[in-house]
Amino acid sequence: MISPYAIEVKQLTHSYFTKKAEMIAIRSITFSVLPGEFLVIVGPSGCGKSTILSLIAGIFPYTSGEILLFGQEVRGPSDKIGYMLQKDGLLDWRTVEGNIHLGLEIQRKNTSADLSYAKDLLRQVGLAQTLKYYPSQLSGGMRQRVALVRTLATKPEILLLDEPFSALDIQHKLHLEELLVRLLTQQKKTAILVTHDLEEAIALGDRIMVMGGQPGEIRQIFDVPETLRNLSPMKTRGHPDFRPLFEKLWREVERP
Amino acid sequence: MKKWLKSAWFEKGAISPAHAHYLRKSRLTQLWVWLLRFGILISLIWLWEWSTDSGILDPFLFSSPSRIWQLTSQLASSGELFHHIWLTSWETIVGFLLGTATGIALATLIWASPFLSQVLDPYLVVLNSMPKVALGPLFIVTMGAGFGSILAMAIAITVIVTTLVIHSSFQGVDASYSILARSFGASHTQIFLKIIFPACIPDMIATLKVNVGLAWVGVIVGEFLVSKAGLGYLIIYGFQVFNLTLVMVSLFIVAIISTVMYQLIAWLEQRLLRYRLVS
Repeated sequence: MISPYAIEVKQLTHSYFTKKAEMIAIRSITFSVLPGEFLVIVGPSGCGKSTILSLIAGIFPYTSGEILLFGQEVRGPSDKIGYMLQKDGLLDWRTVEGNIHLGLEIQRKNTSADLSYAKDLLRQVGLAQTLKYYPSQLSGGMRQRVALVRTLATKPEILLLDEPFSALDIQHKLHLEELLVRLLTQQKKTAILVTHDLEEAIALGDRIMVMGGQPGEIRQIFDVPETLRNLSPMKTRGHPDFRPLFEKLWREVERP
Repeated sequence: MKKWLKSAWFEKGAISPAHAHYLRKSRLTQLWVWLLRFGILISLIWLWEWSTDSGILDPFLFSSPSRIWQLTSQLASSGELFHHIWLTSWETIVGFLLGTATGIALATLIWASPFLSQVLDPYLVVLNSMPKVALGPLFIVTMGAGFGSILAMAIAITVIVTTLVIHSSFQGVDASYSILARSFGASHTQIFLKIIFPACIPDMIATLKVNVGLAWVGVIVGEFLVSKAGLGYLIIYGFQVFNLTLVMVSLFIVAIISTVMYQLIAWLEQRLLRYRLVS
């Protein structure tokens, strides 16, 4: 069956169990993402944003509902997906080169063509000279760029980004946003970004999904106007349409 | 002397007057550290020699540096000493390598199966709190009074603590590493080989360091119990015939060899953990 959607999430519910209790993290979540679209999920801590990403990535099985990637049900980790976390997770004992090869090694795709593709990505993020460095020799922004290269090296069609820039200072954050948008539009990838940062949400997203409550539910989904969508992240922040949308999002997130 | 202290050697390699001042100060400190280290050693040896010579200490009980030196060179020239050293070192090295490797293998097994880990938990706790030396008689009746029993003692004393430490180290690996590997579709085995095991190499080297010391305990006690050769045997034999000089000779040799082994592992650690040193 051919599906027009890259990601479909239907009536998704997930609970964490302990001996004494069941904690419902998210309840009846339904949304879909078109190929090439950039969806941003915002909401307060503990509303289950990250849980949704882990479930789509197939890290652990969901309690009920359905997740489809290009029409196929998620039953575990898939090669179609690249997952990036706030913690860069670079392995201290591997050089930058070893780190960007990790995903390729695990998926047994480490042919010389794939390895040189990874090297080329590293050059595109401006870190070609750090190939033989260890992660401890890099700054936070550089580490996150290496993590981005590691994620893209396996050529995933869908990128799941769990607050990848929240630990960075504003300058690095803006640069990385620019870089991410450039790489994603160039390679026509589908992406879901989870963030706390409403400005970042507007700057990067085509649509913004606001979540809230406990268990987490969808509050509302906003379309980012065409006028902002085609601007670079840096320029979006200066556009006259930026502020009104920010206020709307803010009210929705703050609503009890 | 004074002239030498003012010499240019202390400022060799300086790139500015302030740097020269800094170099002079730190090299002088270093010099003092070494002088005092040797000073303490030499005065202790001298004090020992003098007090046994003048009759304050009984040389029959406390031996003396000159007697120890004489006996050492006598045993060394007959070649007998090297036989004992070789035997004990061999037992220790084999024992601690086998003990550590078995411990890591066991830890891997119970990491791979949380179910097995739960089942074996009480056994590990009991075995860990058990004084392993007390198992000596059991080893002797099953493996005979010889190499096997001594090795078993060294392994018994190292294996359980290694299992416990390495297993908890496996479990302590940052969960985001495993999530990352999972997101690439890594299997259980791949996660172990690419993430968990390499992440724990520093802890494994730390257990190697502890295990060298423990294996020495196992081997020496083992030799006390059964052996007809080795440094532990020399100690217990020297004690039985009341030749305390022989005991002292053996103790010094044990101290030297165990230090050398420890340093070898420290060197290995530096080689393997280079990624930690660069920054």
